[in-house]
Amino acid sequence: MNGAHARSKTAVSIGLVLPDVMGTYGDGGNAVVLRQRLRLRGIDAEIVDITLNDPVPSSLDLYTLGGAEDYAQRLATKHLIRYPGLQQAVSRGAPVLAICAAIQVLGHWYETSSGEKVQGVGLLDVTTSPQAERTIGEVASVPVAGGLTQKLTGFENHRGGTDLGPLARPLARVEKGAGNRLGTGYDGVVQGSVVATYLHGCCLARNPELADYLLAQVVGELPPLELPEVDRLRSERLAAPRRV
Amino acid sequence: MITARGRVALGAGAAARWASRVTGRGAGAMIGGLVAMKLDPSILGQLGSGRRTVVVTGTNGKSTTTRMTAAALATLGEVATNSEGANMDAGLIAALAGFRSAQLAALEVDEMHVPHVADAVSPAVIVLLNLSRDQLDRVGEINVIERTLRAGLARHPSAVVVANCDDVLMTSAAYDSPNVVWVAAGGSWSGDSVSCPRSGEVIVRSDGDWHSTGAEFRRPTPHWWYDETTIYGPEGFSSPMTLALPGTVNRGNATEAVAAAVALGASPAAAVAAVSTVDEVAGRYRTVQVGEHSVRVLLAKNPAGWQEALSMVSTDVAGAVIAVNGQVPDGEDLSWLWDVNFEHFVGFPAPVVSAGERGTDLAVRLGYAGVQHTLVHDTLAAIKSCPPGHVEVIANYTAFLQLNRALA
Repeated sequence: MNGAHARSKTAVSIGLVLPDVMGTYGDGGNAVVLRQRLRLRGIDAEIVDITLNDPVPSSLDLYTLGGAEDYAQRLATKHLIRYPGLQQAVSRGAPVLAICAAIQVLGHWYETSSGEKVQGVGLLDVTTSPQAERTIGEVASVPVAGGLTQKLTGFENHRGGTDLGPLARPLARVEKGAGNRLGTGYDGVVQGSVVATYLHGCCLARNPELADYLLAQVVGELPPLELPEVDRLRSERLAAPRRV
Repeated sequence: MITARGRVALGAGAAARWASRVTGRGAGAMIGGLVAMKLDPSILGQLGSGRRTVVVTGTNGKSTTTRMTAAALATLGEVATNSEGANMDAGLIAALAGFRSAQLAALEVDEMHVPHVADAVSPAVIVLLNLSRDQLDRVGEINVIERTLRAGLARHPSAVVVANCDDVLMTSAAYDSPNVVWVAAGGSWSGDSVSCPRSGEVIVRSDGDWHSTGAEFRRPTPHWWYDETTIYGPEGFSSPMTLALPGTVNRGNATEAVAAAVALGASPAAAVAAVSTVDEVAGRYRTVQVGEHSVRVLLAKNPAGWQEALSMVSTDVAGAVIAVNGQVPDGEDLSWLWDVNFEHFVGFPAPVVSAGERGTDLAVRLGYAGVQHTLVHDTLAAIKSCPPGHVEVIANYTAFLQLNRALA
C-alpha cells in the first residue's frame, strides 16, 4: 500500500467516471460520500469529474462509476475502451466502485434489451443479458467478501441480469430483492480491486462500512465516524418492505 | 355532438362526482370522469370535437403552463381546462364535461397519454415543454417517452407544435412536424440528454446552442424567446413581461403559453398581460399564514424540478423546510436526492429543516453536503420549529398534498 504516506502532501483524488453519461441514478453521490468521509477525518480529498471530453486518467487514487440508460451506456463503454486509464489504474490496484450498468460495462460483454451484444471493458469476468422483466425495489443483503460484516442496503432497478465467471466472486447474498439476476441469490461482484453492485440509494450513503473499506485501501485504516442519521437511515431502509 | 350513450355516461359521471364530493372520497373530478369513460369509451373524442384545443405536455411545468395558456386563451373566449392537474383520460373528460359550451380548451396531458388523447381530441396546438427523468422506479427510459411523443405527433400533421428548442429531447419529438413554432424556453437540466435521441452519439453544447455529432439534428432558431425583462416574438414583437410567479423557469413556461395562444389568434400583448397575472397554480406558490409563520409552498417532483425550485428559495427568510416522501406517486427510489445540488444550502442564513416520511434520506444527503440542518419528520411541526416569520417549503408530490391538506 503506497497510500497514507505518499498521499500525505496532496489531496486524495476520487475519480467520478463519466457522470455526464453514467449519472442517471444519483450514483455521483458515492463520490461525495467518499470525499466527505475523508474530510470529516481531517484528510483532504477532491472529486475529479472525468467526462466524455476527457481521456480517462490512470493516476487517481480511486474511482466510482454509476448507472446509465442504453445509449449512454454504449457511449461510456466506447470511451473507456478508447482511453484505458481505468484499466491501468486497476492493474496497479486502485479501488473501483461500479454500480448497476457499470457492472455490465466493465464485463466481457452485455446484451441490450433489443438483443444487440456490446463488447465491454473486460475488467470483470462477467456477462450480462436481459432478464424477463426489470427487477425493481429495495434490496437487503449479507456481504460474503472483503471482510465486510454489516448488511448492505440499496435500491435496484435493472433489466440486465449478470452472470459471474470463475474469476469473479459475488459481493453479497441477497435476503430481499433480486441482485445480479433474479434467482441467483447474490448481488454484486468482487474481482481484484473492483467492487461492483446493483445497489443505488446512493449505495455508499446507506453503506458506510463499504465506503470505508474502499477508502482504507488508499489511506490505511480509518478511525470510526459517528453519524447517527446514517445509522437511522440504515435501520429504516433495512426494515422497508419490498413492493412489487 | 354528444351521442345518447355519451349523455347517459356523463350523467352517471356527474352523479359519481357528486357522491365522491359529499362522501369526501378524493377528487370528485377523477371519479366522474372514470365513470363516464367506463360507460362510453369514445366520450373523450365526443367532448373534444368542435373545440380548438391546446394540449400541454412535458416533465415539468405542465400545470403552470396550462394555467397560463388558459389565461391567455381567455382573451378570446370561454376556456375548458383541467385546473385540478388530473392529466390522464378521466381528468380530461371531467374538465371538458364541466365546460360544455367552451369553444377553447387548454389541457394538461401526461406525456405518455399525449398520442391517444391527440387522436381523440385532434388538438389545434400541442405544447412541448421539456423531458427529463421523473420517478426512477416507475417510468421507463426517457428515450422511450420521446419516441412515443414523436410517433404520436406524426399522426397530426396539421397541428401547430409549440416546442422548446432548448430541450434536446422535445426538439427531437417535434423535429419532423411540418408546423413548429420554436420557443427558447430555457432549461438548465441537461443530464438526461447528453446522447442524441436520433443517433445515440454525443450532443455538443456551447453558449446555449447545441448540435448532434451523429445526425443532421441541431437547435432550431427560435421564433419566441425571453430575457430578464422582455418577451420577444415573430415579426419584431417585443413586450415587457413581469410575472407574478417566481423563477426563470416560469418565464420560459409563460413564453410557451403566449406562443400557443397567439397560434390560436390571441393578440400577443393581451396574451402577455394575461399570463403575467397568474399567481397560484393548484396550491403552489401561494403564501398562507400558519400561526406565527407565513408559509410559501413550492412543489418539486424530480431532479430538474428540484433544481428549479431551489433557485426560487429566498434567503431572506426565517427558515427553509424541505419535505420528501417516497410513496408510489413520488417514486420509491430516492437516489435522485444525490443528483440535486443541495450544497445550495451551505451557509444558508436561516435554519434548514429536513422533513417528510423520507426525511432521514434527505437529512443524510444534507449532512454529506455539509448543510447544517435538523430533522423533523412531520412537515407542519418542521415549519413550527422555525423562528417566527416567513418559511419557504419545498415538497415533493405526496408531501405537498399532505401539507396542503394540513393547511386547509
